[in-house]
Amino acid sequence: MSDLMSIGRSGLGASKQALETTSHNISNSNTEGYSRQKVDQISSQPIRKNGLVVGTGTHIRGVNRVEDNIIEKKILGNHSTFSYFKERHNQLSQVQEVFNEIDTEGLNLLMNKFFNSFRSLANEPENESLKSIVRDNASLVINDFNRIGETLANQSSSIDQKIKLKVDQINFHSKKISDLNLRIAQLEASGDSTGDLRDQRDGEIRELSKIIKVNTYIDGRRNYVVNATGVGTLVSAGNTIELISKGVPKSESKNGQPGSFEIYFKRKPNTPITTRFREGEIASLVKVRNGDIFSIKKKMDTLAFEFSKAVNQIHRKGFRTDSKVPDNLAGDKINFFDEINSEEDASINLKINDLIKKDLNNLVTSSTPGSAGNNEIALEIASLQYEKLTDGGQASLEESFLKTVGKIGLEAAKAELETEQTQGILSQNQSIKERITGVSLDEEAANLVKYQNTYQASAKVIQAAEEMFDTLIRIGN
Amino acid sequence: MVRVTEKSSSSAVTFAVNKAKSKLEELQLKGANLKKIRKPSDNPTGNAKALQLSSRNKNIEQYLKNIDYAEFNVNIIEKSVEEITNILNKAKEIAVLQSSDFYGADIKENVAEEVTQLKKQLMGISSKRLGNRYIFSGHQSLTKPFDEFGNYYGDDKNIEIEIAQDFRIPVTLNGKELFYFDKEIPVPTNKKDESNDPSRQLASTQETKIVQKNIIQLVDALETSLRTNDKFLTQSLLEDFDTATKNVIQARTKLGSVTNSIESFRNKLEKEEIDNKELKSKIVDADIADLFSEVSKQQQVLGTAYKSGQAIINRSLMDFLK
Repeated sequence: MSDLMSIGRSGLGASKQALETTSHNISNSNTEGYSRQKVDQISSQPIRKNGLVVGTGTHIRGVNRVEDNIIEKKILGNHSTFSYFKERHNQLSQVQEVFNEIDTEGLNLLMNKFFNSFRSLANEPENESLKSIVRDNASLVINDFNRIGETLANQSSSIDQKIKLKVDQINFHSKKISDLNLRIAQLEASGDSTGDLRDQRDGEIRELSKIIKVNTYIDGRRNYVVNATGVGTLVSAGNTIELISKGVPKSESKNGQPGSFEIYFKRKPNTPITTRFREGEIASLVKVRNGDIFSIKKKMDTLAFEFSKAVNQIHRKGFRTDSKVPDNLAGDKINFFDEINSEEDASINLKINDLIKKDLNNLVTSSTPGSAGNNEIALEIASLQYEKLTDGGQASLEESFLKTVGKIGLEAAKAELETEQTQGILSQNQSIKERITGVSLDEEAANLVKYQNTYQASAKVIQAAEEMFDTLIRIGN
Repeated sequence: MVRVTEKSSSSAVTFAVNKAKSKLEELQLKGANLKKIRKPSDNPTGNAKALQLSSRNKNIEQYLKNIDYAEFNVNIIEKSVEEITNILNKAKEIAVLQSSDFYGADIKENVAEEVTQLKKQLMGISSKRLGNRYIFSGHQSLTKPFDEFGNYYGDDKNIEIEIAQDFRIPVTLNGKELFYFDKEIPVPTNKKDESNDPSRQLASTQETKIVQKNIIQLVDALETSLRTNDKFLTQSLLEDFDTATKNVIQARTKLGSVTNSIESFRNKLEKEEIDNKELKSKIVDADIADLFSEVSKQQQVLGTAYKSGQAIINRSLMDFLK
């Protein structure tokens, strides 16, 4: 009789536990990263009684979460690639906005205006107001070169700030993962269920994998290890290896900008590991900073340098129409732009010669001294527009500039496409995982009814046992 | 059978709705400014091509401006040249009439006054200005080309302007070209006399050399010959008038060829401008019909996504368990 009681009680307990798990599932059906949990129920060890083997009821071995490690690992990788392209697209969209001339006047149009203002001046070289238009247009070109150079430099330093922030986030997630490692180990030692904590740890690792590519494994001593691909271990059981980021002087920086950020292990502060990260936001930021922005900025510097050099070269051949020669100049060799000695930062250093700023008579058009109507210099400068000045004599300034803009557009378009594709793959895998580990309310509703019925039936079993007990007791009366 | 969970179905719905909505948004932006390309990445090569075309059209605009300017200049020069031709004709008529003793010194004196007027007109034409430019001074465009003695202060250059890529045309006619003409003059054996006075050299010798004379000096000489009643000098000038007129007509012909090339380049450039605009529009501008059919298509997709979402999200087993 007591057997019957205890079988009934085990059923009651098990179905209550199952109901609890079901309601836990239902209440967490919208929790981010939650994996549904299942009671692991088995029938109790049978016993031999009166020569028969009989059951002794049911037994709950544990409450486990449903997991699929293979798909989870895939998703981690997907996060890394998706974040990489998303960040790349984000950054390159900003870069290409600098060169967007669809609705506005950009460098190409301003350069065009500059050369055409020389053509106007060539029509009437005696006309001072046309000289001031040339000077104004030159200022506009310079402003735009400056704008582009400075915007690119600013974007580089905002990337530096972002890298710093991301490194802090890596450390934050590493710390949380190591804490969770310890708590999971403790709970597991006492045989408690760890499903919810594992969900949390998976969540942290997912966040981490958006920043850098990571892989995780359990090592020989059953320690949970998080490894940054290409870099090294970040977390092993309860230990974390911290990263730091700091600005380096211009001489050491990879993108020619002073104070650009590099990443190090905290205990090895002399060996930068910045470029060793694979995928994820950091790798993306570093590539845009050291690769794309760096090469575009360099290209713009080259253009500014070649442009000013070519204009100066011709302008120096010219003569003022009056006989007054500035004392400090041998002959009339006046530069149009301030002479720039190196290509480095030429787009930012471009400036009009002060002599021209102060006195338009120093803006010369004549190839011979004292000829007011001679426009040879103006014509020659205007024809620089077509001259193959850049890319080793292969392309005109415009062709070279448009090639650069085309390249940026192409890279941005590629990044956009890759972002869409990787997002597609990511959400596909996420839904595969969701189908396995997610909560289905219909299923839980059915379970609710099922376990409720079991609970009621088990209660009936106890009631039956009680009644049988009563019957026995009444025999004596 | 796949398991369908709350999140898998709701994310399927949001994915479908989002996709349709983002496409609609993109179309809306295209519709708002009627452009297919809003940023370089929309069509990297097309964007570069469009920029190149706008730049080319800006050049054409400038070239057309230059052509207008050249035409204006050439017209004014042409008119001046015509006036000079008339003056030369008048002067020659006078020279022919006065090359004999038919008219007396007093009449010649009166006619000389007329010639003085012609000379004044000539001076007026020679110092014609466009803006602050003397159009007959060559590159010395701020210097008056001739003084009253007919000395030339300009040079033998012309101001050229660009009316098409690598194509330049002159928009001035310098005084040397227009006013000067070659004259063969006999050189006397005694070398000391190198003066310009043709009357003295006429009789002396057979040897000749070529010197440049100009129209103003010629008219001046005519005036002198009349005032001094020197019919031999007047006679000797007749040939010079022919040479001078020929020279001026030659200059006119040159202007005519400039006008021709101006016209042909204007036509060429205007045509290219239109072609470029058309090509650019094809690259950049959105096709309105396409756009609207695409909009209504995406609207339908969105509507369907909403409807199917309603079917899956709003229903659960709970509704049926009582």
